[in-house]
Parts: sequence; structure tokens; C-alpha cells
Amino acid sequence: MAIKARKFEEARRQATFNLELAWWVFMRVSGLLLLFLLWAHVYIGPRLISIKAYDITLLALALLHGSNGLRYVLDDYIHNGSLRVILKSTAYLLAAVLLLAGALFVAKL
Amino acid sequence: MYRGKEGQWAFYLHRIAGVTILLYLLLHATELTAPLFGAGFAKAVSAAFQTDSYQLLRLLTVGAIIYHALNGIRIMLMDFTSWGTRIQKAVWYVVLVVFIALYIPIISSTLPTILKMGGQ
Repeated sequence: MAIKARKFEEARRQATFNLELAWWVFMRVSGLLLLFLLWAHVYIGPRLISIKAYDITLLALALLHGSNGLRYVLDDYIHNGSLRVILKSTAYLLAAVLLLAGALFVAKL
Repeated sequence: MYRGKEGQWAFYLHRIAGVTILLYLLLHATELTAPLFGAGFAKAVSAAFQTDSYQLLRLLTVGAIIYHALNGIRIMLMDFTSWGTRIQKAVWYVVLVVFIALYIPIISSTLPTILKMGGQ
């Protein structure tokens, strides 16, 4: 549904799609998927490690699930605003670099 | 359910386990992709990952993953079923029992090897 609002606050009240809710659902869905993907990664890993789509999916889901989880933790315990921004930015940057490096690594296999 | 009783402990352990797993994931991904950042870096990284403290971290992470996964199932039962919250305490004790049942054999089969490595 399109949002008709002049101010951000109004727009937020009208929004039917909530990003925080989307993350909440993502944590449950990705958690369940990771359960199976990780099991396979550990027990039949050597044979799966060359299936590119599988490896990228596992890495991307794990990094997204992990960095969002870390975001929850930092939001709860780091009360100093600027420190929280620094820590979160560092974590996201690290996750992005590793996702990119992982994708490059898998593409080269 | 999150105030001081079983649910609170389940929650704290879930977070600690989660952060442990993320830390390991960062190291593990660095370990695999190190050659992309140059041969010297790759060599230093592979030396650091041969140590038995890294092997102990791996063993600890396995435990964290087992707990986080089992308690994750408990959370999904609470969130998506009508009865999950009512029996969440009992489910947490089931989580602990299954965790011990799965983790003890893994510890007993890998820890002696890790400690022997350190003695050499």
C-alpha cells in the first residue's frame, strides 16, 4: 500500500511493512535453514564445498543472522550512542568484507 | 518468561552462544579466504589456526552451536505455536538434556586429541 504522508513520523505510522518485523521473521526462517545447512556443512562438508550456490547461501545466511543478532546485543547493552554507531559500523563492514571475500573464494573454486 | 527464572537463563545463554558462534564464523571465514589477501597473510593465518587454543575454540563453538540451535527451536515453538510458551520451562530442560547428550560424546572424542597435540 502506498504511503501518503508529509512527515516521516506519519509515514511510519501508516506503514504496513515494518523492517523490524521483517528481521524478526528472517531470524526465525534463517535460523531453521541454518540448522540443516550447517549440519550438512559439518557432516558432508568436503563434498558440498564445491557447490557454489550452497556455499554462498550458507555464508550469506550465517553472516546476516549473526550480524543482526549482534545488532540486537549492541542495541541492548551499549548505551553510548556514538560508540554504538562505531561498533555497529565496524561489524557491518567486517561482515560485508567477509561476504565479498567468501563469494570471491567460492567463485574461484 | 524472561524475568529471572529459566527463561532468563535460556536467553542469556542464547546470546553468549550466538556471539561466540559469530566470532568463530569471522575467524573461520578469514581462515578460508586468507589466500585472497596475499601469501604472507595466508601463511600467518594458517600458523595461528594450527594452535590448540584455536582447536579448543572450535570445540567450544560446537557446543555453542548445539545449544543455540536447540534453544532456537524452543524460541520458534514459543513464537509460532499456541502451546509453546505454556511449556517453555519444561522445553528448556529438554534442551539442556539433549545438549548434554549430544555434546559430551563430542568432547570425549575430540578433547584428548587436542590436549595430546599441545603436549608435543
